[in-house]
Amino acid sequence: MPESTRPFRLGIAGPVGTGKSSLIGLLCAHLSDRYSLGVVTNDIYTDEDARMLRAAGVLDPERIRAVETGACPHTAIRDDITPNLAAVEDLEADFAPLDLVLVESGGDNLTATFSPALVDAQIFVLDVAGGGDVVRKGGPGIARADLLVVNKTDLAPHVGVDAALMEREGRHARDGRPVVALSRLDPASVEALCGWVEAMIAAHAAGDHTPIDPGPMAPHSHGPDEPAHAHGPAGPGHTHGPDDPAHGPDKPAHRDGRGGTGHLPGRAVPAHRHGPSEPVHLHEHGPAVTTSQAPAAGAHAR
Amino acid sequence: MRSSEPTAPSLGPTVGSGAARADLARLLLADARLPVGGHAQSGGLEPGLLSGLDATDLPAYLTARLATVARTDAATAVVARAAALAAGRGAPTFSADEVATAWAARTPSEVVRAAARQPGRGIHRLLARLLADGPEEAAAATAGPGRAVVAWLEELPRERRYRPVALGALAAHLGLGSRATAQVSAYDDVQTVAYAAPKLLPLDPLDPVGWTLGAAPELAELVDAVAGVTHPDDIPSVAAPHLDAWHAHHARSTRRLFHA
Ligand SMILES: Nc1nc2c(ncn2[C@@H]2O[C@H](COP(=O)(O)OP(=O)(O)O)[C@@H](O)[C@H]2O)c(=O)[nH]1
Ligand SMILES: [Mg+2]
Repeated sequence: MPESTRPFRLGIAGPVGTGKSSLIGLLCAHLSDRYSLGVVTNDIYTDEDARMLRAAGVLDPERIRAVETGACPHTAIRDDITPNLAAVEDLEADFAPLDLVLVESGGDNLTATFSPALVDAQIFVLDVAGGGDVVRKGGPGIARADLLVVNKTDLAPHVGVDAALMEREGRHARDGRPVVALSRLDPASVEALCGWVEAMIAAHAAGDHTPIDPGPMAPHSHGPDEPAHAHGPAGPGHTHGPDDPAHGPDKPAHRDGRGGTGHLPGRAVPAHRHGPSEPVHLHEHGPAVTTSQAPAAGAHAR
Repeated sequence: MRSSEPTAPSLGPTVGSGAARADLARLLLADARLPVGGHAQSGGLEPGLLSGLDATDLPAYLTARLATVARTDAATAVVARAAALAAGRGAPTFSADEVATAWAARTPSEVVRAAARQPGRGIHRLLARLLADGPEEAAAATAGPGRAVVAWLEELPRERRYRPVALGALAAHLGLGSRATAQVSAYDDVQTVAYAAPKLLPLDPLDPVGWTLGAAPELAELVDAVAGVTHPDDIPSVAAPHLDAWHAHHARSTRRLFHA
């Protein structure tokens, strides 16, 4: 592949509060003396993350841009990347030459991943406080993001989670793709994170990196006898077509793919559901708007 | 070309041009799922709600827009379409700069003009991709007028490719008539508000569907009024200062879901 002439674009995804903004702050603090950086944030409320990062003083505030998501962070990073792409391109034009553009997703649920047309690679961030089960539950980001971060390991003893076990299970769920157990209080873990990002910047610049799409769907199975599978052309022969019988609520829902046919980077398939009880996807919302006509906040199925 | 960009599937037309394609294109342009960034805007609804509008005002809000800003936008798209087509035929009438200037002169709020840049940019991206990716024969078929239409739009600096001007150019490329162009522009205005409403208010999402249908007479009247406009000077100038003020306030607020 030819050498790249534009900056490496790295997406940071993961549920609300797992530490995406903090991770970006860490990267800025550790890399901005050697690399030229830009940051795009997607927030439920416009510029909350951008303001937090600007206030952290780790990067020139002008290099941090906030994008409105129209109440739908999932759409903004995957289905319609227009505003994000515009913000990334503007940053790249205004501060050329940049080495790295970080795009923070609005905190969404476990199914949200970046479009490969927006980022070259993505980090999925979980934290120990979310519980050890989250890794086992899986999802496209957990299973197939370029890097999985298990964050806030310093909190593990306080929330009764075995961080080392969570990291091991992460590696297992990812078929050996990289995992970093991170705490901002643990310099070695911060170094591991920065080392991974630097290696990716180098691979991208050399043209050695090919973006993969984790896809919005996790490999899963529909019954005890059926092996787990991924959707899409790369997966073993099972796709959801119009003629397929509905997957009823009696079938166990998405299991992770361990013991099945493995994790396959499939092409994107549209969000869909397997039974009446399972929503297509959920967004987490922040607190209600401060108007007299406050919107109905809370999770909603789109 | 970005070296690490995944190979994009072709977006070019594969079937013959003409009425069938234009008809489909009309539906596509009216579809909120068209990925040109529309989901980030609320058609001024969030600014309005933050300034005291409530759910009972919404049907009137839709028709107020159709009488004012949506009318100026639709007429501009119609004029842009005609001018882009003329450029495509090699008999230019008005430059994109003249059309954009006429629209901007009728859109006094810098905040509102700024908000029209983002979707304009998304529409331009789509238009450029449609031309860049077409298969050989389709590219040949659209090479003349299609390229000239994009060139017409690209004469404008990026920050002046406002939505109505870009929409007119895309409509020209896709073969929409002037009535269809006006209708798509105005319908998109109504649906942008209607789609944002349940995200901002505790509403049954079916309610706004009824409001959209209720605006049918006003929408039809708008189409009749602007479909024949060809000269930038004839674009109606019907500003809505109250809406502009709400937009201005919104742009300075720090807690917003929508860009505008
Ligand atoms: N104990 C601890 N807290 C952290 C760490 N990283 C982030 N946090 C805290 O987690 C909370 C959410 O972080 P934030 O970066 O805003 O999460 P985001 O919503 O994913 O962007 C904040 O209170 C952070 O200070 C960490 O390594 N250890
Ligand atoms: Mg954040």
